Amino acid sequence: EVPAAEEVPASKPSSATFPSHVPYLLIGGGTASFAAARSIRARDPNAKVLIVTEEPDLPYMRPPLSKELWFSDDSSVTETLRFKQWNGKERSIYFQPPSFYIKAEELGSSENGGVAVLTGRKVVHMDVRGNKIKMDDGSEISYDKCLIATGGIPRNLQVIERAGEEVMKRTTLFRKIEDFKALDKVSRNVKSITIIGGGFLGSELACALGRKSSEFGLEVVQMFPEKGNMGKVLPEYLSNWTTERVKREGVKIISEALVKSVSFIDDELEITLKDGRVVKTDHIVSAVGLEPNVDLAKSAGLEVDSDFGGYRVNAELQARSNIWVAGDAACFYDIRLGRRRVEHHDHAVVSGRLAGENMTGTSKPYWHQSMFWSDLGPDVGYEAIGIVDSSLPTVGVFAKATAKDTPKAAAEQSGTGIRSESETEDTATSPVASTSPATVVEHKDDYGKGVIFYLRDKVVVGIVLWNVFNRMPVARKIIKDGEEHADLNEVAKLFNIHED
Amino acid sequence: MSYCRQEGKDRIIFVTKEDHEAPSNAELIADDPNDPYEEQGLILPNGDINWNCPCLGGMASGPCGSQFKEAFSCFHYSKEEVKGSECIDHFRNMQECMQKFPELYPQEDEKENAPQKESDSASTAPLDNAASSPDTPTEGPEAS
Repeated sequence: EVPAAEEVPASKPSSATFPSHVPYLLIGGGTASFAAARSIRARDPNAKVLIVTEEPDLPYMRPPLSKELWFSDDSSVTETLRFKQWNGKERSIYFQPPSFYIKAEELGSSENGGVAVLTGRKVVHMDVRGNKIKMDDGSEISYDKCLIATGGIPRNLQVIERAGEEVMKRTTLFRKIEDFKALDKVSRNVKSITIIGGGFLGSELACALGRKSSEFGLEVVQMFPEKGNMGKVLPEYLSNWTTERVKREGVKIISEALVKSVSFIDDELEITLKDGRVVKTDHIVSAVGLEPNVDLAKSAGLEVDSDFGGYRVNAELQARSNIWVAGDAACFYDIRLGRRRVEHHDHAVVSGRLAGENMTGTSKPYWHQSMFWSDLGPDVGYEAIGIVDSSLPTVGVFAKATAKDTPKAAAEQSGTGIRSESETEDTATSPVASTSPATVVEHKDDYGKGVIFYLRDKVVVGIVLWNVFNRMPVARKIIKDGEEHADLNEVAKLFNIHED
Repeated sequence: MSYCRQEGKDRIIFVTKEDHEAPSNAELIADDPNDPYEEQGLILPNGDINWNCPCLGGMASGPCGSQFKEAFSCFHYSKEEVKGSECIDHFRNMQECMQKFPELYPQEDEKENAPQKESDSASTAPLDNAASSPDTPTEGPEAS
């Protein structure tokens, strides 16, 4: 069954042999795929799992690429890709070190099975009838069960794509480890970087670079069409408040900015906006969204969703017999919130885990609602769950802030590291009560901490926990219930926003 | 006193600690502990171990996953007076396997003497968390 092994040097993984058949084939080597691999192995003893990824890297987590890695004191961070969390605990962005995985060529003969990763391989064709895939080198692998977790590629502005070579090579589309390394290098060697896009990624990168701006002598500009940062996520008053905080991180904000054209003139990039303003900069980071990767839809005969993009799957994340989809590329039916596609880390973990479970024989629907979070500097942090769309009517309930209510303080208290771990890997420990007296911030309209409810037909479909932490289970419960509540202030009481 | 205003479709309420003192009258639906859709903790309603529990980190899925599962299952179902006393061989197998992967399973004394080198996903840290959860045994035979 296992093909005759060729003599291959250890440094050329692309020539490594691999089995011609695997029970579990996972296409894509990101967070959803890794979560699925772990889930399959947990449920099916001795399972043999093969991950095939285009990237040269073993599975890793993305959130630190736009946050923690930039805050590291270690000058070799671009090599080690390790970071220290607030509580001093260090970890790698890789989910597991190489010793966790077994070699692809050993998968067939391994008694206890294992997870093998084939890097630098692109799956170009899927034969659903024959239950097999073909890779870019022409070789084929057949499977019993297959997961598609191909994520997506960053979108770019058309005006940049049409602007020519000199502009394109000074533009970063940020998603992978190599993009982080490249941007880090650029940030040390230019005078000005402009980030286009006001959402999660754009704002996080702006804050990360903003903090470095004085150290590097770097001007950091962020521009976007909305009125404020996170304009599509947070209600206007909160988006405006957040924008002020982002400015304090050293970022020059240009809001209500629509890019008309970009040129390379006199050794600089010139960004011309539709209202006539011109911004001169050395480098652009385009953070304008993600295009889900549905390359295999045609050959596999899989449905692509026209509203949300991505492969269309049912509530159990299944596309067709023996094929599941998870993570950014999955447009799935959420039995509580309706059909949707979610591009967050925790969703990749939750959906990957669920798909993996269902690949071993269960039929559980997507039910445990995933969460997401963002930290924009040490003073603004929030966690959120459900449909958090600023076009929905919202009700925000806020308390007066104290100095203790920051993401940093919360992490120090609760002893958890990055929130991605507390929700998905470890169980969160309860916060330790602080003994220091609180300093009360007096501003009347200071949105220090609170909870914001997003409503659809009078039902809470989304919740943002604004600088209050360790309350996600309550939020999850409210969404799960899907009830109409007459008085949301009463619901807000459940969060104890005045406590730590 | 609470203070409230409306900005278009968005309502904003500021509340003091006193405003939120009275218990909430919001009604939540009682949870069904046997709901098959719900994510489970370490122990399933039927008493089995949930190997997919996030609290276990990579323990059940890594290269020593089978050995870990055998040892832990043996302990979990053990009815001996000294719980798990018949599971020594399983735990030894598990130890032997884990010693081959020091990166993934840092040994006890290494943890105490040196700063933890590797991420806690596959190390004993998830077991520490599992130990603090009420559903799990706090001391396995290997802790003696």
